[in-house]
Amino acid sequence: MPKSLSRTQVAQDSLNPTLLAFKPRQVLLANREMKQSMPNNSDNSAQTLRPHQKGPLLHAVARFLEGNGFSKTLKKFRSEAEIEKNGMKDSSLDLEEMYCKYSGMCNKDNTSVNIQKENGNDPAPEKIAKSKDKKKNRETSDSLNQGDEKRQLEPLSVKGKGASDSETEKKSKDKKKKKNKSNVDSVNPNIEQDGVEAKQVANGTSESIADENLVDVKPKGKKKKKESSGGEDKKVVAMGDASETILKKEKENFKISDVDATDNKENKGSKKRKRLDSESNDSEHANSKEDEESKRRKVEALKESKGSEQPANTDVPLVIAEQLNENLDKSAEKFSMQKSMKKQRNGSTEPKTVIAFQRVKVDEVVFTDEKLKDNSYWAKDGAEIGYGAKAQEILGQVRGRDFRHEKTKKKRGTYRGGQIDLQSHSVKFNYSDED
Amino acid sequence: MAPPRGRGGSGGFRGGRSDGGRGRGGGRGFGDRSNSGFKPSGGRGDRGGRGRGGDRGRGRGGRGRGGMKGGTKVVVEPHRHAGVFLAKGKEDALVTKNMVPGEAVYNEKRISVQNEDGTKVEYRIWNPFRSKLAAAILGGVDEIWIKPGAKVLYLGAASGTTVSHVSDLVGPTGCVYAVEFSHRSGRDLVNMAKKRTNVIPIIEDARHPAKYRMLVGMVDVIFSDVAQPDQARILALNASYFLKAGGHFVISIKANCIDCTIPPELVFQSEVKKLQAEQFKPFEQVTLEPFERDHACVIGGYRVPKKSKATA
Repeated sequence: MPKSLSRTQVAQDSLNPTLLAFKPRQVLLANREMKQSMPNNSDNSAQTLRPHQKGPLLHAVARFLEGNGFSKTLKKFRSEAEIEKNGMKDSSLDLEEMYCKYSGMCNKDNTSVNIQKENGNDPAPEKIAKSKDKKKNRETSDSLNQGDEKRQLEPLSVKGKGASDSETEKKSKDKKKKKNKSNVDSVNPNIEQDGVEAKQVANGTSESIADENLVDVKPKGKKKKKESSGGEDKKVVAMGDASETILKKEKENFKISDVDATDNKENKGSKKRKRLDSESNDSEHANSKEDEESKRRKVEALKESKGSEQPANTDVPLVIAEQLNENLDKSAEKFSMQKSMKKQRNGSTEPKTVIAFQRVKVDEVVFTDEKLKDNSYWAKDGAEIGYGAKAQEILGQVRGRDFRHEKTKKKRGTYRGGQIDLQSHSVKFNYSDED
Repeated sequence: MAPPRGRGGSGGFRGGRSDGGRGRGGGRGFGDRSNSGFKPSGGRGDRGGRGRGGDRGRGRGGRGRGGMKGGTKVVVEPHRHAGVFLAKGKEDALVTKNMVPGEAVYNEKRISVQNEDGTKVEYRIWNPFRSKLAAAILGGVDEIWIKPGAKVLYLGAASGTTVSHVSDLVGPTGCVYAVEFSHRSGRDLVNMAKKRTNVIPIIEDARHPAKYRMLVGMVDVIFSDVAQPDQARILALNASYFLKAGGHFVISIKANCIDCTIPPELVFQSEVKKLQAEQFKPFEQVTLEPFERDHACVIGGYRVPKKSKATA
């Protein structure tokens, strides 16, 4: 149920980007609290849908998905929820309609609801949860026995812990499963502490032996078995069929060591394997608990800080953002102004100071010979009949890449330049003046 | 020199590096045309090295012969510059006497000549498009100062194509110290120097002559082809270390390496000025067009004594 709810919400969020931007957390919280408050006030049975009630809801979700064109999601959803295509037509639920009503309701009395939530609802479930601890545990076990889906277990167990972990939804499915297990764990110790009705523990009939074992073991193993070790054992219970044989071994171990069988550390073999599993599970369990705790604290802090501003919550950030934007604009303008000023200054200075770097100062070059003013081939003596005349005809036409191309051809040795004269064609420097 | 008789035509040759990357050398014997004096033989095996710039992996396709046609009558004459020869046939070519007969350094063509006394002499064609010294010679310089028996410091040796010709030029009595900084082309240079005993390859930065001062003795001529903005300074530095008083320099100036924003003539003139400030006395300048673009070759003396100036 929560899962399906979240699905629809996601879909709706994707419909409305503003919702996506601001709402989800609030909506989730509101949803959750509404949900929680309702059953607390009335009865638990109202929250959990009967399997026959679920059908239409699933169909409604499917229809919603189809209507909004989430074809892939729909396909997946169908395959997971195992509903046929044609079966959904008769469903009378319309999620969009429902949501419209809901949002209208929310907007109408947003403030009042929130205040209510703060003052009344939040502590209330905790109190109730604490007081009703046992009852709920039993209820959970009942629900387990009823064979409802595991999903249903979650909100209940959450309540059982007294933690309003609304964010747990977001966690992945695997985590959820583990959570369920851990929830079972958390269910069990209470029962064991009470030392009553061990047989009623969720795993029921087939594991009754195991339970008996546990019950037997428990008193033998002293109180030193703290929560962790207890958790292990409970884990064992939860593991059910697979752990039956191991449990028997355990029992034997315990019987053998009898007095000092308190700690599982001394157990060997298969027990070790067992322990590894249980330890890891335990740690996860602990972690999840911590997470929940911290989250709850955060949520509370958030609420406290925001207090009655919550209704205006969506608007406030917008306003702030606008202000920020204005500020930014102003500062940017200032900055650009300054920059332009600087640029202008620079522009005034540039032509004065900057002179392009040159290794050769053109002004200072004085040609000692007129002939040196032209480096080209044709300026040379005897160029017309020279060996390079032919090459010059070709290479003089081209520049850049083509020049290289042509020169490469010449490098191959195919060049024929005619006669080579032995005259001197160089430009001589005259030093007649001084030395 | 009287045109010698006899058959030329050395066979095919596959030389150079052994990795065979571009081995396309083939025999080109024109044995049956027996009447001619000289025959250029094109051994195009693996080049010992690549020329600087250009000819990157582009060989000649399937064409067999180049400028000097095989089998035509060729007469080799000595050039005005000692050690340089002219192969005169239908077309002329600049050649040097191969110090290592039977081997081409960079796939150049060779001309084999049999003298009247039966001794064979091989010449290698010197392509002015590959060598700035050859371009300067063809441009018509008065003197190159590099002659048989001279000791030459060659800065910017690259792969050693020109160095091999300089090595031919100075002959077994001379010596060429070839300085090249790049390891890649220095590899080819070293491989070339393995065959030529008068070439001493130095893989060092020509800016730091102190690093190879232990390898180089006093030299008669410095040839500089470093194409660096501060090449005048580099030349002066090396000259201060190794060039004897009254020695000579040959420097090739690439205008674009110094300042490409102004006309090349200005660059050359300013370089000449710089050289004059460094105890050099430029004698002549020649353009390397059309073999190179915006290049000039300046030749001069170093610490020229007064009296020799009178003679010059």
